[in-house]
Amino acid sequence: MNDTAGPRRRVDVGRVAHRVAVALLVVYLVVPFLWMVVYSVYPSENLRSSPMSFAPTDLTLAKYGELFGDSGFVRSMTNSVVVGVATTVICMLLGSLAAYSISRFRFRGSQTLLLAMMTVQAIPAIVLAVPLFVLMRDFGLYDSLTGLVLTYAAFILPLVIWMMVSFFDSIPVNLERAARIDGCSHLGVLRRVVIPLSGPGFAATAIFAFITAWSDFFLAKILTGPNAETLPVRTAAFQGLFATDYTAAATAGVITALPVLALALVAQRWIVQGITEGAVKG
Amino acid sequence: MPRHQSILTRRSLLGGGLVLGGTALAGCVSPGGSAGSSASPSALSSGGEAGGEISILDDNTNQVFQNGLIETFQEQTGITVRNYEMANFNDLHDRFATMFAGQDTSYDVIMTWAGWSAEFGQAGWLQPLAQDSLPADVIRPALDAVSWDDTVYGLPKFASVQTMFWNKEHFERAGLDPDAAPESWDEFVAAAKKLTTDGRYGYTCDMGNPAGAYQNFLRTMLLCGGELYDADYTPQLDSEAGVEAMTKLVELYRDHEVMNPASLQITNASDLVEVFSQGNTSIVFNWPFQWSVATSDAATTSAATVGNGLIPGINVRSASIDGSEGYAISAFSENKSAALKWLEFAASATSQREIVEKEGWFPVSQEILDDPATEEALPVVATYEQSTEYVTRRYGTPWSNELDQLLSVHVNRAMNGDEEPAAAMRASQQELLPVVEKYLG
Repeated sequence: MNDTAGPRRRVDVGRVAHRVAVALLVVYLVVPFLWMVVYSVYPSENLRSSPMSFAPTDLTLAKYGELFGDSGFVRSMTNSVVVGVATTVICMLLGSLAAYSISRFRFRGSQTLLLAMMTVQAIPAIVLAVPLFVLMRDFGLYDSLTGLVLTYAAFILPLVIWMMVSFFDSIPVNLERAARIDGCSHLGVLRRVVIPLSGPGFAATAIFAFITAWSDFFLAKILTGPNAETLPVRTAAFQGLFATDYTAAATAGVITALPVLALALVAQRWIVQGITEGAVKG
Repeated sequence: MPRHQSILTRRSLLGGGLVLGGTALAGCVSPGGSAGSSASPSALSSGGEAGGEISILDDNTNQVFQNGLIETFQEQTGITVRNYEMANFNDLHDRFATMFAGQDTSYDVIMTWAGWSAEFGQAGWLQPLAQDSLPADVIRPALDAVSWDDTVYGLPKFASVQTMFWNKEHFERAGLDPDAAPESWDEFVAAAKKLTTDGRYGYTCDMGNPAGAYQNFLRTMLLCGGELYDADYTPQLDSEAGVEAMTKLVELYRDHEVMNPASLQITNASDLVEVFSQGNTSIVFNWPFQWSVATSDAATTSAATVGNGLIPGINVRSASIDGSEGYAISAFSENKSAALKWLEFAASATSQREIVEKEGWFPVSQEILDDPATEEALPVVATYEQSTEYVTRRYGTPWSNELDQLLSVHVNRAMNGDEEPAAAMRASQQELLPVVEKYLG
């Protein structure tokens, strides 16, 4: 027998199983999104016929054109961007300062404060729906972007503080002491030393804050009307009592998911690094 | 220079917290009470002076109001519609509940259906109407959608009753008379068997979500001659009619094999129309708007090939379920007289003519129902007239959502053969009893 295959390689069963498991997990996670993309680019008749038709000639971006030409949809998209960015900026600004204080200054009740903030997170949003609605209405903030941003900031800020505290805790205090000796103020230390060093954690937390505000449905549904309606609420409206526009819903779903996806891809390295740092060194 | 005093003192924070907590509690409405409302308002009578402005929150079923009828209303009454907002039906319940619990005065008129009329009416959040507020012209059975516990909380804006649609071409090819509808359940099953051929199922329904499962079960139970509740609202799910209804549904799917398996996945009437109008099934029981879709240019069916008639009965000649919608007045409205004018306008011949002709729903105005032009525009209205001779119910209750959920679990188990029909109904009955008890005490 002519052995031309070279030396026999040992098959690492564990590694193969691991790769298969990862592949299955990726398929499990990605297929729903891909199916949504398919639904957005094929006429619904193609997907309801039996068997389904995936003829390349039937591919169309008509629904995307239709949605981007719909002033109501564009307004809800703009609203989502404004709310997401504003909430993120507010939460990161206030959250960083608060987290730095908790991480670096010892004061009575700091740990209780941290715990209390998380306790608030345990209250389901539905319990707060009516009081929030009343507050927003009485302050003239119902159906306004300002009202929505303030609400989201109140919900997201405690989580941002928690995450940032763990990142700040992972930075050696000696570096800050050195900066202080060189004449930096506390804020200067924060700006010049701590934030640059906690960049990955900062990015991961900011993305988390943005995604949370961007994708919220329940509070947006309760606190907005036609003026401040956001993308998730608009997308849900494609499902009616007697009819559902699946193509429009899928298209809106893709449009809603894309910014988050792009953000995650761009900041992927920071996110992984940030999460790892916060998890291990803290 | 005096020291600046912060507006956020410990006292103000504490006070604010108490107010917030109190408001949160106000939002926790007990099923049988009205914690979030003032005392139930007295019934509103018609005929008073009305003017000023109103605001309306509607679902997106009807386009005719924003496409001209609002202007007509304003011209006729001198009342200004300050705001007419259309929202997705699925979002409205939570918005209404939040607004009512907050005693909000933003909207004078809201869209309603049987379930919400019961739920919000019992909570004291809807304005009851006096008998003299009901237009003489309104078709009385349509009031079911806006009533609960013998109190009328609004006026219907359209009537919707399920009827049977069949594909005449399929009938002809199967050797059936295309112009003669099955009149009994046995005839229906026999026809469906002949029509189940070439990879196509004779019958399709939409029981893919809780509301759909409830509707399909209720319709079959009514066809068996049963009633969902007795006079005291004691559920009758495990009655002879209830078990028979569940058995008949299971037989269609598992024994006769004439029910499209997709029926367990289809979640709304629109998808059901799509299946029918693309020629992928032969018989469906559906709402009246199916006619306009199935006879449109996009459909493979047409007015010549779509048959319409009464749903064949099991122990009675026929029966059906109701899906009518209406308008109600918020108990917190500050202009109830003007709001009532809107309700009257929506139920009037002026609005009803447009709803029938442009949107294909059944009218709630007797004048429009009797008008020959109505049948010309919407031929299926003839079946609607016939259906008024038989039972048509929806049983909207404050616990409608809970019933939908629990019943759908057992209906699905029975359909999939995981539970015997009798056991499914016994279990549903046992689960529903405490729910009803919770609301009615």
